Amino acid sequence: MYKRCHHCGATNLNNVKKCRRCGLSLEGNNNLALAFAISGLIFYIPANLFPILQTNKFFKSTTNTIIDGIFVLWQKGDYPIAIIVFLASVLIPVLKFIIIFYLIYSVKKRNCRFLRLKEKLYKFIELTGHWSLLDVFVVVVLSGLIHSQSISVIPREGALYFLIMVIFTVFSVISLDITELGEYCGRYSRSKN
Amino acid sequence: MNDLDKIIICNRCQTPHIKKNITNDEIAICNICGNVLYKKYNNLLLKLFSFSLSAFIFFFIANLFPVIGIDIAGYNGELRIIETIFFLFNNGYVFLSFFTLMTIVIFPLMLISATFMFSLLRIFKIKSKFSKELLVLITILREFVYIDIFFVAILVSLVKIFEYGYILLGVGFVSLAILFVLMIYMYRYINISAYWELLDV
Repeated sequence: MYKRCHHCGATNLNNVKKCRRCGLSLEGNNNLALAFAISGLIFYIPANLFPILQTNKFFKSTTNTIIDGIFVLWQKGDYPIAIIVFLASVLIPVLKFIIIFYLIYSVKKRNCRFLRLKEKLYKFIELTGHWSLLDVFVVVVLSGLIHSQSISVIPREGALYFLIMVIFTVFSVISLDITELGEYCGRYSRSKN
Repeated sequence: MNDLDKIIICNRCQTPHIKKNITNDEIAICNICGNVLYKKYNNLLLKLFSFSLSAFIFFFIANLFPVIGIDIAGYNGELRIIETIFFLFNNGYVFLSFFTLMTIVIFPLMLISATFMFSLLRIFKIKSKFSKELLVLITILREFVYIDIFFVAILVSLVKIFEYGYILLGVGFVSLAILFVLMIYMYRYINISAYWELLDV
């Protein structure tokens, strides 16, 4: 009967496509979300295989992938930072892909099981998704800070792939519409007040 | 007032509720799932005005002054946001520099300016279509402003490099920290629907 605009929170009639208050679209596009998620997944592979960072110290040059960086932090004893980088760069992107594909599958198949859990999962990826950019910004900060002829830190191709992957997944989450599932499962019609 | 304005739908369980008047700092809760439906913020308009003005000032300080400095074996490096973006651009990292420019400089500046102008228009009760356009801008842009992640990235970088040299925290760092808190409060803590409610006041 009614639809909530996820942009401004206004209540709209169910048969309209644009919000009466903000004018933005009330419906997501799950096919677009799937396309973005697949594109993101494609870029996630080179993002992990190629080095994200290169450190030049006098005549010695070392490169680090995301996983290498976490191991180095862990071996140095910086456990909290290693955990934060692991969460932001490895665990959250992987979880995000799994959750996006699971939610799209559920909407397509109209699967009403674990609806509450799915809503929580959607909230989770909506809130944490862009935090994967942490590693990209660390590279930006380090390269901006240390860039002399003898010592320098420069971004490598892995950082670019990782950035593109995060952008695709952010757009995927924005395009995803979980309320469609709520409608199928008849929760909209449940008006108690 | 439209009849639909009297109805509010729970964000979590999608149950419609009749909107009731609540006093300042009171919270309306969904009786089905317990989720917060809406909250009446005390002096929201004045808060937005003062915080966006403060954010505007701190934004410029954070961008113009050095954020951190480092001394490694005679090499003195400084991190300035704008210089870093130019450095990345000049070294061929065009996309990375463009992304950083947009999400750390341009979008935050637009967002803060839009909030400032919106609050100013509402305080002086100027009825303008421009207010709605500003709110749409705020609603969209708040998703693409990553100052909070950038600030945490600086902290992570500090931990990574602190044993290699002497680190100096600049004026920009303090400003960025304050800007981080202000942005979190204005665009994460305060629900965007509260901004839209101000349009009808």
